[in-house]
Amino acid sequence: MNISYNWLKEYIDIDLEPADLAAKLTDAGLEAVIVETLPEYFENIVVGHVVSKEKHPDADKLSVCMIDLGDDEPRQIICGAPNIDAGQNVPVATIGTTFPDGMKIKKAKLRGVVSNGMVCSERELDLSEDHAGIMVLDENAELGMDMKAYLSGSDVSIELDLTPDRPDALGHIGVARDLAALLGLEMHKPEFEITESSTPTSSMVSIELEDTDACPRYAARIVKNVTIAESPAWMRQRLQAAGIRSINNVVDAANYVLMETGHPLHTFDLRYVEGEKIIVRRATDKEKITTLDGKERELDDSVLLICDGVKPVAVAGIMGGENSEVKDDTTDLLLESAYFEPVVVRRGAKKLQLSTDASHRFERGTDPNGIPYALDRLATLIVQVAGGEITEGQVDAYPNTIEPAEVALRADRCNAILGTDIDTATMGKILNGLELFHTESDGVFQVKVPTFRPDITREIDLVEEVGRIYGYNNIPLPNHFRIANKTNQKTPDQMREKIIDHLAAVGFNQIYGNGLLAVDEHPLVFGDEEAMLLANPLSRDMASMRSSLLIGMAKVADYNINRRQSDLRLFELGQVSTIDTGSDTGARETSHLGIFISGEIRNKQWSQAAEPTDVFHMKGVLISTFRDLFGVELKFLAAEHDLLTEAMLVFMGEDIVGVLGNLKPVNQSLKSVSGIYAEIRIPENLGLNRAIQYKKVSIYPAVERDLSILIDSRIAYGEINDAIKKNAGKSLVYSRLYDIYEGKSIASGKKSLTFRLVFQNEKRTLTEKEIDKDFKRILQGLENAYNATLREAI
Amino acid sequence: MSLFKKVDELRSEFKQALASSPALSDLERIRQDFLGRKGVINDLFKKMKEVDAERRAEFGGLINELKLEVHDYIEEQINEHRAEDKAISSVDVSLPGVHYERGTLHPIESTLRDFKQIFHRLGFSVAEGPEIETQWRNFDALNFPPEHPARDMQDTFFLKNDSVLRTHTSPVQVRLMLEEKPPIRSIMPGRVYRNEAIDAGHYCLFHQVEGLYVDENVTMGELKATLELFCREYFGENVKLRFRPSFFPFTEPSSEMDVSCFLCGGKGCRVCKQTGWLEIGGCGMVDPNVFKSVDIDSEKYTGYAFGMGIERIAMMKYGITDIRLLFENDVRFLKQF
Ligand SMILES: [Zn+2]
Repeated sequence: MNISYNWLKEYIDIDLEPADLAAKLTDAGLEAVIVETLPEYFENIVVGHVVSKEKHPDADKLSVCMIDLGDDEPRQIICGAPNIDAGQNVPVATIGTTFPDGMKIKKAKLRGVVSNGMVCSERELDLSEDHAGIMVLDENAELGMDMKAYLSGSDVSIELDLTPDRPDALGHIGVARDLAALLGLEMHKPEFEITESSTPTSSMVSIELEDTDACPRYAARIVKNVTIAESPAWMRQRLQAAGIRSINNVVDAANYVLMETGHPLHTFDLRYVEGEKIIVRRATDKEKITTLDGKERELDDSVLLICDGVKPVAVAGIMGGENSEVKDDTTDLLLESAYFEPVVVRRGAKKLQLSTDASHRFERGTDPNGIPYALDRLATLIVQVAGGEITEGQVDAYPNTIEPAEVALRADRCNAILGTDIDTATMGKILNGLELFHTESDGVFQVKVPTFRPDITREIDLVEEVGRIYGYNNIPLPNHFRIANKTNQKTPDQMREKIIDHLAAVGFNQIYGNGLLAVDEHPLVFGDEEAMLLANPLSRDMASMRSSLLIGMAKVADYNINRRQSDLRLFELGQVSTIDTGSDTGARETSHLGIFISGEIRNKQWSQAAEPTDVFHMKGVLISTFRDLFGVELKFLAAEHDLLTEAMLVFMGEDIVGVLGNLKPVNQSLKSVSGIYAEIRIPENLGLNRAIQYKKVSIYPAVERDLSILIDSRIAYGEINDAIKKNAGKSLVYSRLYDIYEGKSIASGKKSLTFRLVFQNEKRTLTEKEIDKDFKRILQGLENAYNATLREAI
Repeated sequence: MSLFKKVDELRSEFKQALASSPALSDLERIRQDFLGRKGVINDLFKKMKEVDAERRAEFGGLINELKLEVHDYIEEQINEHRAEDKAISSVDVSLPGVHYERGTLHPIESTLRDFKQIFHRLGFSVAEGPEIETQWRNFDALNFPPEHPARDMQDTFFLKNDSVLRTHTSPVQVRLMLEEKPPIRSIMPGRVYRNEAIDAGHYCLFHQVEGLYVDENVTMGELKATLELFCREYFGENVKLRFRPSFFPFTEPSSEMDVSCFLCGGKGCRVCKQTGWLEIGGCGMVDPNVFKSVDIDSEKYTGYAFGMGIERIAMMKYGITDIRLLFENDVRFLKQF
């Protein structure tokens, strides 16, 4: 909402520059910034005085005018408008003006006569639709003044970004009230006297409320014999500064009172209100109304209607009907000032997908007891700008009076929450400034909360008011912190940080993927993915929650590969979800770790060969991550997998926790992505029970022996390695496969494996004989079980 | 005659430059300064015209002499340097070192870590919860009345089963207060979702760190002090903090917090939209209605809560102007952190 600086000054005598005022309002919770409401190019359009007007020698419809712009010499300008005349003040677009559509004003010849600018119509300035002729300006306007200054009357617009709890500040009076409390000044509402004719309003219209919960109060007045015309300049200027377009004097007056009091009002053409009555009722199913914007709208009983004796004439609190709109020939008016229940208006606005200045305010809560004031104010303002006479009295249906709430505030409680030491006198002054009138005894305030503050219902709300006006920035800071003598760390957060740090340390780049995917982007990585679907997605490609990290990872890989970055080592640690009807959210969420490798681990360097990637690289990364960080040994088993070749299942104990392999083309749009992928489900309790116990380092020498055997090439390394460990005895502390060979010089169907074995004892130096014995036992075991033979040294 | 004098001046300048036995790289710079196309000797040649015609030949000779002198002397020095290096080491030490590719933490992660570290020191534990939440934990328990305009403040993604993608990490506060008795002193980091059109400033998801302290006699002053210390640690000792009254359903009183713009120091610039302030989050005292929904006695206990957006702060800190960069994960971007 925009407010006008000059307008505000009508209600409070502030002595602040607009910028300081904005800062003050911001400090009190009404976030304010100064804004430009008029476009930049208006600076080149200036007030000119038509000194003379001659007919163009060669064109009937054109006039050659001499226009004084208040500088050295009048300019010759050609104008085609029928209404231009000597003696007028007009807006002149000077040479160099560029209009928003790109049109640039240049010195030009029209039918042989030079023109030095253009006289503008209201439509050309985007001020209204009027293009019948040029805009005629005030006769006292200063020549040469630009249109920005002329139209704003040197006013300043301030945009307020208000929180939804402050409907009272949705008008200039409400803002002035906050300022009064902040600055210790008096706020004065406009005072006026209403002159009424002798015809009682009640003899011309009656009101029936069918649903007093939805509409607790409806008041109306009638003004007869008005003349619809353009509004006076002062009113147009005010509305302009408040960001509201001028329509005609009556509609403008209603908007004026809206912006003044914050109370939405509506004006009907009395001609079209049939049956001399207003009925407020719920719409029936499929009932229709055409609103002011020309749209026919289908309703249901969530929408409240204002009807006359025959038909609906407005959607309550949202928008008037086209059938009763004020038109150029309107003479008699019915004015509406009502209170509608916020939830009812909100539902109606949602149903119609329509948000208006009125619905915005009704949804937040207007003042039911401010209705008569706003109505009288509107009636007198209309007579002031459009003439006519007001009939006698308001018709006011208000069966159950809404009383101000009584709320108690304990001064010591207020200080205890804020951490302040504000005395009761100061608190009392703050409350009075906000019109929160009260009695006080023993440090307890009994506050009568006016109905324009629907946000204040509890003591804590009053605490906020005191704090807000006292100034949050004036609350003193304690010198010490209190730290609870209690721990409630409840997450595997540190475990995850360890994994992330480890992977970054060994060369992986962490990614943060988008968790929203298309409904068909849930390939079965683990096989049990069943995605949670969104009811109101932003777009088709973000309509479900990720059920694994694969697609997100593949998209990132694809993005990089398309930008010639193909040596990738990426990982993501994040939440994925699948359907779980047993949970109260309907979902089960788990932490997953996704890892992707492609290209080379290391490019060739002058002293180093290139290091390519394969699935064993990934396997090594997984083993080191889980063993080194958490003491957990992973097991790997070959498996068929729809998405992976050379696929392995990853086990922790008996549980399958992951998969690993070469990625097949994921889908049509990601088919260029190839690389090695692994995804692990991280158990919640990973590493939680790990207690590292120091093991004494042996002081006795270690002895190395190499073992090279020939076996059937179908036998897996894992089996051989297990057999070595089983048969080795206690002294074998380490074994490492360092060569594997098949091919020339070896019988077909055979392969050679070479191990480095390290023997060591904790208590003494091992003898050659002991080691020979162990070595022989290992070999014997392999011969017996796998028909292995010792391979001669090459 | 000043141009003739200039030749002598340059000579002594040159000698002075070499007096401090410059390194190889400095020699190269000196060569450029004196002999380069835009060097000082070439400048002198250009001024030849200013010399009286009869003395021009003499002047030219003098410059040439100086030029040769400088050239020879620099060459000699460079050769000496190379000989020295060779004597010290038989290998070419200028060959590149073996390159080890370093991995990186995502900038959101590193910002989160910085936050956690500071709050750990202030005695906060970490609590987490799921991204898919019940409407009760995301809204009702946090005093968002049904059909209140406050629900529009956060554009919400609904799931087909009527759960929501949490719009803030506050449901973790609800979980924590239901499980624990006060005192509770925790931060809640995590991913949250908003149904907003994606542009340079908005993404459909982002990350938050919220904090909660519930105990006897917790005051707004303590809240301010905690956040001020956090900001001084994170943004630097000179940062200023501003609290502005605001509205959040789950706190009362509620406040926005701004820090003085670290780019312009508060004078106003493009980043802070000329205000001198940057908005970093919201905070306030836990609303009694929230305590009521988790069954904590609001007469006995009070509490404060705060929340900050990680992306927003990371973007300010690293000068990132488009939030989408954080989720594109271009490795050339990632490797800068
Ligand atoms: Zn700045």
